[in-house]
Amino acid sequence: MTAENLRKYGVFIAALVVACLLPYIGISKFMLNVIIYAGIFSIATMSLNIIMGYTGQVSLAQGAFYGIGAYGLALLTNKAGLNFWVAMLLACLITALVGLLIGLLAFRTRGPYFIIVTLCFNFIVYVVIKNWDWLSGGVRGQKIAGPEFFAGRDARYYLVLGFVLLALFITWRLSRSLEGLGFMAVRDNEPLADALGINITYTKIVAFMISCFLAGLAGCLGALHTGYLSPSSAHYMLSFNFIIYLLVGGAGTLYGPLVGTFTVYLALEFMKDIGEYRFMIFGAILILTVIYFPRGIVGGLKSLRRWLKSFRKKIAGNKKAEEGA
Amino acid sequence: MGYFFQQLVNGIMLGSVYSLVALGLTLIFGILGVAHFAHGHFYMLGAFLMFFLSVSFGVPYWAALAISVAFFCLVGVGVEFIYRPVRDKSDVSAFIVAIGMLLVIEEAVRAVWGTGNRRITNPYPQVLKFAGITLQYQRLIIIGAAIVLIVLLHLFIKRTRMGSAIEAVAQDREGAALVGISVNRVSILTFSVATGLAAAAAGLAAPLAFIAPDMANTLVLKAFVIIVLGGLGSIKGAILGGYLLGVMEALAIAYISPAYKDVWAFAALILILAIRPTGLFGGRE
Amino acid sequence: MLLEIKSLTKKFGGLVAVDGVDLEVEAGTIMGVVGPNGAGKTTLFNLMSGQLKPTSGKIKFDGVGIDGLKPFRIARLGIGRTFQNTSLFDRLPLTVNMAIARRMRTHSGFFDSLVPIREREEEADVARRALEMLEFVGLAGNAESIAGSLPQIAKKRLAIGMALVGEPKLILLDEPTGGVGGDDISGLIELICQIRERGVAVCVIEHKMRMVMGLSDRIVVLNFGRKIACGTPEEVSEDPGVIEAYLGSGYSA
Repeated sequence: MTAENLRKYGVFIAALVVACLLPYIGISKFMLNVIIYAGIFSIATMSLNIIMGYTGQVSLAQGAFYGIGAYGLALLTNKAGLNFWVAMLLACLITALVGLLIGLLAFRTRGPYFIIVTLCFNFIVYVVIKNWDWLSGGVRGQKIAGPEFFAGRDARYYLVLGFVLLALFITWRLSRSLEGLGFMAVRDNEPLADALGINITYTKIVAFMISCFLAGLAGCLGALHTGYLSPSSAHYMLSFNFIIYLLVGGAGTLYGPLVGTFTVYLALEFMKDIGEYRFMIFGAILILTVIYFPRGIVGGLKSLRRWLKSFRKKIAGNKKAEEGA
Repeated sequence: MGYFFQQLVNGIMLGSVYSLVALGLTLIFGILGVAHFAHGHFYMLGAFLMFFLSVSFGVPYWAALAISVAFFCLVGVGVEFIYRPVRDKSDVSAFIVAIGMLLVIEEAVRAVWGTGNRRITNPYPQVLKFAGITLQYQRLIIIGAAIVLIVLLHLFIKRTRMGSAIEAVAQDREGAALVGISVNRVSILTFSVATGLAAAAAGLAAPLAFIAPDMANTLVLKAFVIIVLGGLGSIKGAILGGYLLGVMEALAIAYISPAYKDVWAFAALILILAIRPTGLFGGRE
Repeated sequence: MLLEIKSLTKKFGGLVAVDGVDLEVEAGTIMGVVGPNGAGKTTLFNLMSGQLKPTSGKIKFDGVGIDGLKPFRIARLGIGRTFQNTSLFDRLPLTVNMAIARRMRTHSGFFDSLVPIREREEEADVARRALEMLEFVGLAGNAESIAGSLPQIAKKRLAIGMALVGEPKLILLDEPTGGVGGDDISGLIELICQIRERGVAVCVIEHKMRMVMGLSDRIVVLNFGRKIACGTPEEVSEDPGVIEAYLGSGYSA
């Protein structure tokens, strides 16, 4: 490994090592629990990043897809009696399929219309799950049991870690692939992308299906970890949360969703003592972020690094000029 | 027949509230392009102010309503200032600011008044009976007052200088700026009028409703449905859409199922937008 | 004929923007499109590249009817274009802009991005062509700059390159010299001639009469949405209708 590669991937590798050892460094059960949830939500936030950060379509339905994944898994294991892993894969595929159907309708609209349509869809899913007793167990919710192996918290931690890495890998590959180029073209300039031969509707729908698949995956993991499902797993507040995580971390960046989710989610957990006030602080942070740091933490750091680089160049240039004189 | 008529009146009453809220939203969206998703929360705040004034201080109903509307016209000015930095940025930025605002408001109300339902006493508990129908006076007052407010707003926009500036900006923002209309002033005015309308709707409906921090969660979404269907920025569309949705919803609750009462509007919206991506009555991109 | 337009009409409400225009463009030639403001030139381009749907009339490109097709379909069939306001992906580097413009000629999808076998080959090809095209339009030195930070002339060149990198048979240039200073114009003219040498036909909207006369093989003159003349520069400049309607005062300037 070259020195440059080491610098490039050093932080990532160090973080990965810490993540792998985490359950063995005397971390409390409570803390590990919080981290598992943050990991699950970060997958959902990455799902939003694909459709919102890279493709520019603000979906407020990610909470619904999270719920569809979770309830899909519950139904397929409890009612259909399928093997857990098969059920999980199917649940994610079903979520992507629902995404396809909703996408076909919703992508006929754009901008604010699209936001409102997706939010309405989320609302419908929530109300249906709450009221359709046979399907969901209604407000009482329902139990869900994973394979015995994942009864232990540590095992679930590694499972979530694995899927976080998978979601990261998908985002990373997409962001530098030909398919991802199409996403960014649609995000940055739709009419131009259209004139350059990019099928906009198709591109949006592909992005949305990938996004829904990941949201469904997060839902499955959430259901497995909690062991219990209630309609709040499909609440539209979840969609709001994911947007907040993404914006704080930085939309359209690889690590933004991860950084944002962990920062906000952990901060909120630690602020539990101050009760409901934390959501006020949260709301205020959100407003300030959008106005003053529209690129989020990761985007901001990137800008800072670019600025430092040019600043250093300038200083070096000045020095050279002085030496010359 | 009596039952149907009763539901119809309920629907029109509900529609009056929807229209007033949607009117404010469509003014803000149409004129400034801001998706003011926290609008419903100012309705909720309006209801709580009514509660605060009439229960905690014993202010008479109409005086409390007047104070509340005046106060929220001022609050609207403050709201405009929060949105100003993102007004010309993407739709998303304003939307996110709105979500932030909504969180702050809802939690602040929870912190002050708790999560329970509150009520204020109905100032007109009498009922009117004719042809086998019983109507509460307060319902008729809501319907009548909403019509008065809508007519006043219409006159304000058509007959006054300030009002016509709003219309000019709605039609062509850059053009309006070129002929010397201050977009900032119009923006403040619009937010002020819209927030005042929401407070008025809340004050009118307060005697008949439970007042709770989450009372406005579906209201704002419905108002968005109305203005999307009516065409963003269309005043006529917001009024018609409001009444239409109110009546539809009342009848759906009465004849289909109350459990899914909130779903019909949203399902209708998704279907209609799928067929006509810019809303029922045209509207702007 | 590469492009055949038959009695093409576009109405906006009561306004007729393009009124029964017939037009033919031969492969590998330059067609100048001139006319006063509001003559319907840009509308004609938007009809040809699919941004607008014609009210009536036929457009045949390379033997295929393309009227009413979506822009991306027409682009894939081989018509590239630039926009009057020089639309680019402003936040992305030049190489990425080029790569996006080449995307329609690649086949890798989502699963190829996860298992990059076909993807690697296509990526290499795209990168090579992107660089080649940047060289062709004279921007190889700025390959890694951000498109939005370029000066106006470089933006114009990049937009032309992006229209070309998908290997079209015809490109439509909407005022390529608009907002560009005197010295830079001759460079652009040279570039447009080089495009013709590559065997690509060019339709160019242009206000600068002298430039269009020198550059074009054929010229079409529009006025109030109608075609009032069409022919070689000499024919057009001697056409009494044109002189009266348009050139009368403008040509001497």
